[in-house]
Amino acid sequence: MPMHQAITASLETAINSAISLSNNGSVLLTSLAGKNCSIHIQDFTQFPSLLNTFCIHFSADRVDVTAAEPIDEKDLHELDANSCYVSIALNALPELQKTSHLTKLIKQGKLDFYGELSILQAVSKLFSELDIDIPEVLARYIGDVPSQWLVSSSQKFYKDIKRRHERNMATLSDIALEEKPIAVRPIMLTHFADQVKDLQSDVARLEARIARLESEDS
Amino acid sequence: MSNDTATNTNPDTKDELIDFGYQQVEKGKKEQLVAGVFDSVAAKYDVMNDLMSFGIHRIWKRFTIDSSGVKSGQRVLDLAGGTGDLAAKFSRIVGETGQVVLADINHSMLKVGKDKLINKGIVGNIDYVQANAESLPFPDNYFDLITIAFGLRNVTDKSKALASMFRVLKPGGRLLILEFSKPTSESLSKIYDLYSFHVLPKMGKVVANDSESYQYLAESIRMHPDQETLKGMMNEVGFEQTQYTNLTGGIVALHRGFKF
Repeated sequence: MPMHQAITASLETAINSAISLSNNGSVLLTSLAGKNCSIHIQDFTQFPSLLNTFCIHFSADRVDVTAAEPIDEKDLHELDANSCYVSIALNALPELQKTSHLTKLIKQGKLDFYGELSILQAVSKLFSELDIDIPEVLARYIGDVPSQWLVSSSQKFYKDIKRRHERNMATLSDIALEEKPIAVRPIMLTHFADQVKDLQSDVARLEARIARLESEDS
Repeated sequence: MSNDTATNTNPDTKDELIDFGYQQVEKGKKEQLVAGVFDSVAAKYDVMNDLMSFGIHRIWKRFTIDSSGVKSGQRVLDLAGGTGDLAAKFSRIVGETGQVVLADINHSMLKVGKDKLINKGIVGNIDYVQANAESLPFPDNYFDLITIAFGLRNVTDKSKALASMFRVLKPGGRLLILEFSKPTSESLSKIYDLYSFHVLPKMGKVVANDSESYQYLAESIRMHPDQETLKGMMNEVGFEQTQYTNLTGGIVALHRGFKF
């Protein structure tokens, strides 16, 4: 599927651009040179037309991303010391950035992992610790003053959008819970769940009592 | 291993005629004529590839790499490797413990490829060999993977080249042939003909100051065996599980075969 190749090409360009723009990309790549990490997105398994497995090959100064076939269970146990394989749900993908969360994700069953854990930890570190000085990068193309203005304006704009979003959500929540009670508060939901549990135990007790009376009659 | 040279002087085939684009030439002369074409285009080869294919050749080559299944530590032969697009990628994938051989019959192309890869810092696990695909100067059962991208149609005796590739491939190894082929739709074929015979030579004239080489390119594509014929030729020399994938409506096809 050439579409897969277009996706891997875009991914590769994005990662390499980030590495080359960062101050510490080559340092972070040092421990990964010559290694590779295959990533399988569990959600896409049922859709063969979507790219569900790709492999990142690390070199001293860049990465190469290739589309790959899902690896057989047997082969997964025979991965060499330079390889690792991760099978993960799409929504857990951002969690890979947090090195400290990896073990937790494995324990929670959100992440199937084979091969060298140190490779995955280094990959996680690469993506979380890439240090890109955006104003400096922009300054190369548009100059120092416009770069600073653009970055501070973007930050202000982002903060403004975030503030408006939070305010809108609070208003919406207020309307839904107080003015037009079409939604329930978490505490009400918990209370309802407790009531259902009580009812369940009452029914169970009643069933047990009926059973006992029936056995006494007979 | 660098700079070994193989020749294919074959007295038995001296007077046989063979196609060189739409012309018929003596079999022994085709190699020289093809060499002339590539000597002429070598310097502008990458630029022209991007222009002519609108950059899509990069996607076709990626598809080839993704279909290779190549792993760290393996030995790869990039035949007719030209300016080294595939070899560069393979070199990084096979790593320090692997080996890539970039082979091309044309010295000018090989030199452009070697300079380009050295400038990219790709050294150490890559060798450069000037070699004829019909008589590869390598031991039997030597490579895990052989690729030939946009090179087979320029080879004088394709069956002999396929047999030579089969010989140097390890049992379990695979051959990938990326080559122009026959468009699957009639309408695409017409547009493609119009583009190849009217636009390409003019583009060649403007960018590389060489319309004849690009006229040859268009003609050689039409004279190249179609998908099924090439698959049959691979089977004849011993490849198994041969199959092909049409790319961009069959303008290009990737053939794959294994040696067991």
